[in-house]
Amino acid sequence: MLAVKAGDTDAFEALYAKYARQIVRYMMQFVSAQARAEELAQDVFLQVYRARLRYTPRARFATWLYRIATNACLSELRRPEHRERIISVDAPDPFSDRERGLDLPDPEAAEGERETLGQEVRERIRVLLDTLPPQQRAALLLARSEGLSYEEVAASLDCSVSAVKSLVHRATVSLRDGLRTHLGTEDA
Amino acid sequence: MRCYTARLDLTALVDGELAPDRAAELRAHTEGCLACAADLESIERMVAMQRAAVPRALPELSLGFETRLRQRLAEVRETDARRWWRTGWWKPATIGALATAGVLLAAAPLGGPSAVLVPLGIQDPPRKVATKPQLFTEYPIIEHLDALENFDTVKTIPLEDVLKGAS
Repeated sequence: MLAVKAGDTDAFEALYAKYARQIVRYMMQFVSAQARAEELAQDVFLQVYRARLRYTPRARFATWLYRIATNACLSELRRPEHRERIISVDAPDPFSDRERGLDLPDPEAAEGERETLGQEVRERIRVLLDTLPPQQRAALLLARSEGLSYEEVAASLDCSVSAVKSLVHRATVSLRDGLRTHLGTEDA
Repeated sequence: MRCYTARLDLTALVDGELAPDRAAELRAHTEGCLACAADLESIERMVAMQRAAVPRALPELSLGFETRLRQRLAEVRETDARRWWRTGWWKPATIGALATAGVLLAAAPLGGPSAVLVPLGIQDPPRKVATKPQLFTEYPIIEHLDALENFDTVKTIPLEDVLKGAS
């Protein structure tokens, strides 16, 4: 990023080649449709380019990048079409697994993990994630899906580590309780 | 440790985000408290399920992604270049220089640059001014010249004496 700041355009291309797919994957947790996630990801990288002269390496570049990406996602969720969207827990999901990349075997999943986790439960978790307040969803996804530490999540969300701990805990408990209600069991 | 505070940290414990001593304290508590132990177990299962549910495979980007990004980047660079052209430092300097030259040229029929520069205090007035002060009647300092004639005397007299004299 320091090379980009110095005017190296190849360095900028190397940056988005390295992070673009990660950012798109993260954004698809908010907007579902890959086409829209790609558009937002491009907005993120253009913001990175515009802000290059103000960049100071206080933390990992990825932390700063996820901060811009999270702000873009939260702004997207404030748009009218997302606010008016009613999520029915019983309606079929409008986006197929192919759209979200869930139909392909996940080579990184722990052995046997995908088999034991039923399709219904996975779909339910997806729906429950969509109903979380945006900040909780962002904190949870950054920590669990993108592998950031709580400290990095705090930097990305511009809040304290205690706040992140609280956000992630509340989100996790909401998912757990939602799954219990859906399954009608105490197993979750 | 109270159960209420313990439960708030259970998720961080499962995520490995607690300091070692705090984590040890919490585990010790759950070993002695059935309710918190049950809570911990349910959170562990939920975290495992959530990790399995979210996609970890990186998506393949659409064919036009990179082309479109380069296009948009070129537009941003073009906008930045135009913005520099509009707000470049040379512009106000050039305008200022042209304005000054214009004023001086306009002053030529009035008696040349001196007619402008002298009132501005940029140039010393010519000798003939002393003999023709009416040329500078617009100067506030000339208008109040009488008040200044005794300035040296005034500044050596204490204020109270001046006021006594005035009264």
